[in-house]
Amino acid sequence: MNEFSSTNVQAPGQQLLINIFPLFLVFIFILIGHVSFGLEITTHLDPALFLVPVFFLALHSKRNLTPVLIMLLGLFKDIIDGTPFGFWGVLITFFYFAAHGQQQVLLRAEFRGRWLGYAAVSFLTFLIAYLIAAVRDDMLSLFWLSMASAGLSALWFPPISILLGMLIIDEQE
Amino acid sequence: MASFRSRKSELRVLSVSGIAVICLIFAAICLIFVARDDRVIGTLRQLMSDAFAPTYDVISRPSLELRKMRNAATNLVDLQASYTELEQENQKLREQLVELRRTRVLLDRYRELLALPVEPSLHVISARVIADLQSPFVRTLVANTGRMAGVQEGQAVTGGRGLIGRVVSVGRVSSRLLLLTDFNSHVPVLISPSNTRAILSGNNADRPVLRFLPKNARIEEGAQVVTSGKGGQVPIGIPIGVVRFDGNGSPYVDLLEDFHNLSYVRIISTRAIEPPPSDPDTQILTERGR
Repeated sequence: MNEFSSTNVQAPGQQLLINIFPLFLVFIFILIGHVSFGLEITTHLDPALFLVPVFFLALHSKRNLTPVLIMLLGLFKDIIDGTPFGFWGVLITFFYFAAHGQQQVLLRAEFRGRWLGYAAVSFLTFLIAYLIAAVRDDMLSLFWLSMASAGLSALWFPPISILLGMLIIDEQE
Repeated sequence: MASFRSRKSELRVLSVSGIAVICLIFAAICLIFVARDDRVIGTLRQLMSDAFAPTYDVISRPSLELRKMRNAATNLVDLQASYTELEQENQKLREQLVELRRTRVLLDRYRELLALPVEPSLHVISARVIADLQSPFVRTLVANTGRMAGVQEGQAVTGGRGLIGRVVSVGRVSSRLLLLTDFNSHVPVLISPSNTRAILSGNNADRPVLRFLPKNARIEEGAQVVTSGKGGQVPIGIPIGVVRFDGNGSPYVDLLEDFHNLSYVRIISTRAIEPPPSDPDTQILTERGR
């Protein structure tokens, strides 16, 4: 698998696509996340598909503006979802920060390694979400629901990463 | 040269991390200091809902059609069983209808005799669920109807079987519905037949719990839970579910409505309570009462 594999992704022609397309995908996934499929098992879970393009940006984007735009998208999710303002802002920025911190290791890793890295950061992010909900008066979350959401998010990693990996493959060609 | 490039790259990475930390601090400040019911955020939220209502409408349609197809397929498989069940239900409903007509006549007579105020007539607004915002942290829905259709904050929302929640914010063409299972949902209820009052509170799980029960209240498993009408906005008597007890003996409500498969909802609007018409017999009764 070639997903997320290249480190030389900053060719001028592709730079815009690599920096803008994942952000657009984050926006789309925030909206799509609200479509109900009427399945009992997924109703109360948040698959957080938007975390995959954020992970991609954390590994590849070198623009200073990227974390700011990611935080703004988190705040946008708070407004859309009805969660306290700043809740997803904190989580998504933390996710970006944690993934970016492991950039060098993850870029050298095999696909399975990156998947594992993504899953680890997702679980950590949802653990923080659970803890924030636990200390706030106006929020409550069940631990297993948060962890199941992180698990579901990790399951979505391969198909979305294939889509994002195509950006890099095109550039290499 | 290579060393210089590597150093430059390292500096750039650090600066992106630094910006991420600043963003993290900013978002944390927002989280700590901006209240959840902040008016500006609330207005912005509703404006966004209105703005994205057509998008939600479009993206939710394939899912709705899929669900319809799935339900149709299920119904086809169980056609004979469904027919028998419907026959029995129809028979039962006919019997209940006769009883209901008799009760209604009696109720109207009692109301006249006691000079009770006329209960507001119910006005139902049908709406389609265009966004399901249920997650581990919130339990809300967005419906494709708003102020233009007469929806107001606080109105009760029902599914096909019973109450599912209430309207928490209204835009021009969309409204947000807080489900009974949300942690911030608290609805005054009446437990029949004992007429015990309580508050039904959501806990972000499928089973909202009964709180503020009177001391020594005796409620039985299977008792019906309906809205109490306290507060005026939610009409009295809308069915919610039945009482059950968990392993610790704490009461919770087994909801009538299936929250996982909500496609359409009904928003119930009440009109202001009007005084009873001035009837000479009623006046005499009132004077005797004094």
